[in-house]
Amino acid sequence: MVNRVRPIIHASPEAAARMQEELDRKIEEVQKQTTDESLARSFPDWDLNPPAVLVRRRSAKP
Amino acid sequence: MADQVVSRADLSGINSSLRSLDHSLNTISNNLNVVAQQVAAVSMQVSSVEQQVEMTKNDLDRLAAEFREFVRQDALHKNLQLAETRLVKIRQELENKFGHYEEVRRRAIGILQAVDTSLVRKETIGLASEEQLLAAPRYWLAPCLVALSAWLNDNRELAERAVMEALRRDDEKTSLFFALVTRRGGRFRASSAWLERYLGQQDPNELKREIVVLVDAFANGIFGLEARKRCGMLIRSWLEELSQKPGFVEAQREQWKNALRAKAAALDPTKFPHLREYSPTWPQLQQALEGAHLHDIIYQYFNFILTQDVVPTKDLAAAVDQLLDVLVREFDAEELPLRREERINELIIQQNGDRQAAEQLFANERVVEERLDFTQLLTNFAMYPAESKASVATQKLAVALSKDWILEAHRDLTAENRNAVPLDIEITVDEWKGVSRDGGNEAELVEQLDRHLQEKKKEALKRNRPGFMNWLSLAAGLGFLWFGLETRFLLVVSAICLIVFVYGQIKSATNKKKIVREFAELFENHKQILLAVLSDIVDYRREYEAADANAVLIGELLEPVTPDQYVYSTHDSARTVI
Repeated sequence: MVNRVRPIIHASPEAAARMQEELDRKIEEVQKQTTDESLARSFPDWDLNPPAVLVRRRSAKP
Repeated sequence: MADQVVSRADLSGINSSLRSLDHSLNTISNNLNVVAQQVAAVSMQVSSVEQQVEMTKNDLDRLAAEFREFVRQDALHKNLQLAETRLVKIRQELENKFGHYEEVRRRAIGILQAVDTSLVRKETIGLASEEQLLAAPRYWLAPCLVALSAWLNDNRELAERAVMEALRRDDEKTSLFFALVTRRGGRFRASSAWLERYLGQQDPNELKREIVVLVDAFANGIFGLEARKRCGMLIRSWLEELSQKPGFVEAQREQWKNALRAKAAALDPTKFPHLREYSPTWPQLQQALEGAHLHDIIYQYFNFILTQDVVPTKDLAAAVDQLLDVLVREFDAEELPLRREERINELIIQQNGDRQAAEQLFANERVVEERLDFTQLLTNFAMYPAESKASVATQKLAVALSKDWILEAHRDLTAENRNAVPLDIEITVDEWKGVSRDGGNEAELVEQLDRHLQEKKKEALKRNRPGFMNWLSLAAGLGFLWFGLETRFLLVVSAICLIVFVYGQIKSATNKKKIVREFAELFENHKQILLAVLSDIVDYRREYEAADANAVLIGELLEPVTPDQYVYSTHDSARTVI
């Protein structure tokens, strides 16, 4: 269970950036895989965004 | 001697009386036999009556049980009939009041499937959606469908108006609906905005269970890279809000202390065998050492979480899509009282009229609806990932967000543990008791043990000395010898007494040697035990010190973690990027 191989503190900025890029790439890959292409093609160019009005909390405890 | 004449007495009267008495006794005896026979007969009758009573009682019990069962069955039957009648009425009422909602839901599922597969023309979808809007004037889902179809038909104005109406009807559900639909359609920027709006409406004191899936999804980037950052900041604000509550910090600290403490592992039972056996302080020592080992366990645990790579999976996206399905099929708040009544009556019918069993089942179903405190959710994510179904990304996020409480709880545990370590360790070998702190006072303890055993030996030797009887036999022997010079018998007695005395002396001398030898052996044995215990103490102190030194590692590991770091793949990269 213990991950003794991976160092904790000594990562270079280059390595970190590389890892970040790798994660971003994986996320984009999953996004592509899980996007419904048919639905995506059906949408026009513009996005249906929520209005920028203040959102009221569903419920709040005192 | 003078001759005496005794006259012959007449005993016939006495004889007669005795005969009469004998006869009377016979009569009484006969009468008693008769009475005994009658008593036996009565006894048999009583037994028979007892049996009959017992049988009657059994019959009565059976009858009562049958009656109770009959009453129960009757009640069940009536409950069943009542539930069936009520169910019909409730369903009629639901049909009358909310039948069109059900229709909207069915259409919504159909429309979503249609747009997913592009099998229906956009105009048809638009038409069907507008019809639903007319049929369900208060239901949030109807304008959502209109907005969706208007968006698909590139009618921005209508889409935005329909969205406003849907938000007016149910802002929370509409926001979640569009967050999920836009995600499915690959519109991640819009999806992020809708999700942020939805999360912004949540009360961190009582979150729905679906939040678990959503948090897991955005932490893994399922809602896009932007959503990770935006929603991450939003949930940080939940924590800030919760932190304002009085007693919150203390409660968190306690919650985390319990969670950390639960990771403690039992000490290897083969370790410190002598200390275990000969120290009454062992239970405290064991607890303290287990507490010290906890530092490493906790360190390894968090280190493992923080150094793992985040691997987004398709399963998470499927779970998010499932939420859309649930949301669309979900009953509206207006329907809920009737839907609950419908469900409980269904359960009563399912349980053949057993209302109690049905209510129990209903209560169990309601547990799923239970709401959670956000911080409890974070603790579950971080400490019980399997049970809470949290991915690595969510665990990282939970650790990062809870870092301050983890550190405080750990500091508390460390202080408590250090205070609980016994300064003096007691050692008990038989009746001897000694105390050592670090096992360094070996010479002093050996001397104490020796002194103790010498005392015991002295007592044993004292008890072994010839007793009063022995000296008495000597005195008697000498005395009888003095007086026995003329009498042979006394001489023999004197010899016996002197033999007893000599035997006593010899026995005492033999025992003395045995006692001296046994105490020498005992000392050697006890000394070995003592040395072994002292050796265990030295090992214990060393092990505790080494284990306790790991406490600082947790601070070093978690202190630099900031709540923004979860967005990065590994802990390493996060340190350098931030």
